[in-house]
Amino acid sequence: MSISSQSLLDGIIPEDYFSFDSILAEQQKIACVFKKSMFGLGFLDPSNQNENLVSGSKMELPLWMASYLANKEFVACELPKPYQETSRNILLADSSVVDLFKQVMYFYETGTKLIKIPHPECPHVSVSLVKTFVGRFKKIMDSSQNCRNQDLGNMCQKLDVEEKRLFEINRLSVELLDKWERRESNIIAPSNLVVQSRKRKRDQVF
Amino acid sequence: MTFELGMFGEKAVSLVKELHRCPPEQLHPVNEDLMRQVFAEMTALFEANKSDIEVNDDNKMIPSIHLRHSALEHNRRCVLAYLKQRLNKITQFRWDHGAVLPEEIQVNMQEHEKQWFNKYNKSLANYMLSLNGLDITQNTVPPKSLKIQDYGELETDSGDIIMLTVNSEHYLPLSECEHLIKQGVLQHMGS
Repeated sequence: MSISSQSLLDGIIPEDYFSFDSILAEQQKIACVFKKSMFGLGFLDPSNQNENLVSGSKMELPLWMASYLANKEFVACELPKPYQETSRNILLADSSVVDLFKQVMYFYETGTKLIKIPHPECPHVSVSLVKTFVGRFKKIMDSSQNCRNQDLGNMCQKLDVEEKRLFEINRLSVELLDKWERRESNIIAPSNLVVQSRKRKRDQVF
Repeated sequence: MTFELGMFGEKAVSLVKELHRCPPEQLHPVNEDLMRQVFAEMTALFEANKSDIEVNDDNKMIPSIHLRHSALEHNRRCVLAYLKQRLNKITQFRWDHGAVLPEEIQVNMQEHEKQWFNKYNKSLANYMLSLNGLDITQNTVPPKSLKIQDYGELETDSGDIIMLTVNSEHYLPLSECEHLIKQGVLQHMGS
C-alpha cells in the first residue's frame, strides 16, 4: 500500500510528511527576530502587551514556523544553543561523551531541518552533524553488539532518538543471529503485539 | 475572531504526541474532542486570513497572513499524520491478528476505519487469489517439517474436527495452525 501511495504523492509532498518523528523534531524552539511587523498577532507572545508583534522584537517560534517565515524573509533565526559554535567545538573534541538526548531529543532530524534555514553558519552545522554521527557511530555499534550482559543504561540515555533506534536494531540482530545459531529460529512464536495485548488483559483481570 | 493563548498548532502536536505514546499493541479511540479543537483553530485561522485579505488592500498584513498560513498547513499535516498512523497500526493488526480483529480493538475503531479495514482485507484477498490462492500471510518462517505439535483451547479445524483442549498435544499441518500460533492460541512445541 505504501509503495503505490508513495509514488502517487512523489514530489507533491515531502517524504516525511506523515512521519511523527519529523513532526516532533520540528517542535524545537528557535529564537527569531522579526524583520517585518506582524499586525494583530501580539497575543502570540505572552510577554508582549502590544496588539502587534513589531519588527525588531524577539520571540521563540517552533521550527516549522520559523523555517517557513525565514524562507520568506519575514524573520531572522538564531541557531539553538546545541548547534552553535561552542557546542560544535565540544562535539568536535569528543562527541561520544555529549548527552545529545538532553540537548535535543531529535538531534540529527532537527539539525537536518535546521540547515535549510538561511543562516551563515549552516554549512558548519551540516559538517558538524556528519562528524558527530561518525564519531559516535562506532561506540554505538560496539556497545550494542558486544556488551550484552552489561548495564548500558547510562550510555543509552545520552543517545538521541535516532541513535537509540539504531542501537535497538543492532541489539536485536545479534539476538536473532544467536537464536539462529541455537536452532531456535524455526519455532513460530506468537506475534509480539498479541503477546503484549494478552499481558495487558491479564493485568486487568487481577 | 479570538484565539486562545499560546502558540498555534500546539493542540495538533499534542494529538500526535498522544498517539506516539500509545503502545504498538493498542489502539486508543480517536480523540474527537481534541480533533474538534484543532479544527476550530484551523477555521479561525482561515477566517482571520480571509478577512485580512478582503479588508486590507495595502501590503502590511502579508507577514501575518503567511504566519497563519504556515500554522494552518502545520495543523493539517498533524491531523493527516495522526489518521495515517492509525491506519498503519490497523494494517499491522491485520497481519498479527488475522482477518477478524479482537473486540477490544474494534470498539476503538471508527466507522471509516472499519470500512477501510474491510477494503484492505478484500484487496489482500484479491491479491492472494491472483497468486492462485497462495496465502502470503503464511510460511513467514521456512518450515523445517510440515507437522507441528501444539496445545490450546477448543477450536474447530476445516475438514476434520479436532478438540484442542488445554495442554493437549496434536500433530497438525503447518498450514492449519500457523495463524493460530501467531494469534497465541496454540504453542509451537518445536520439532
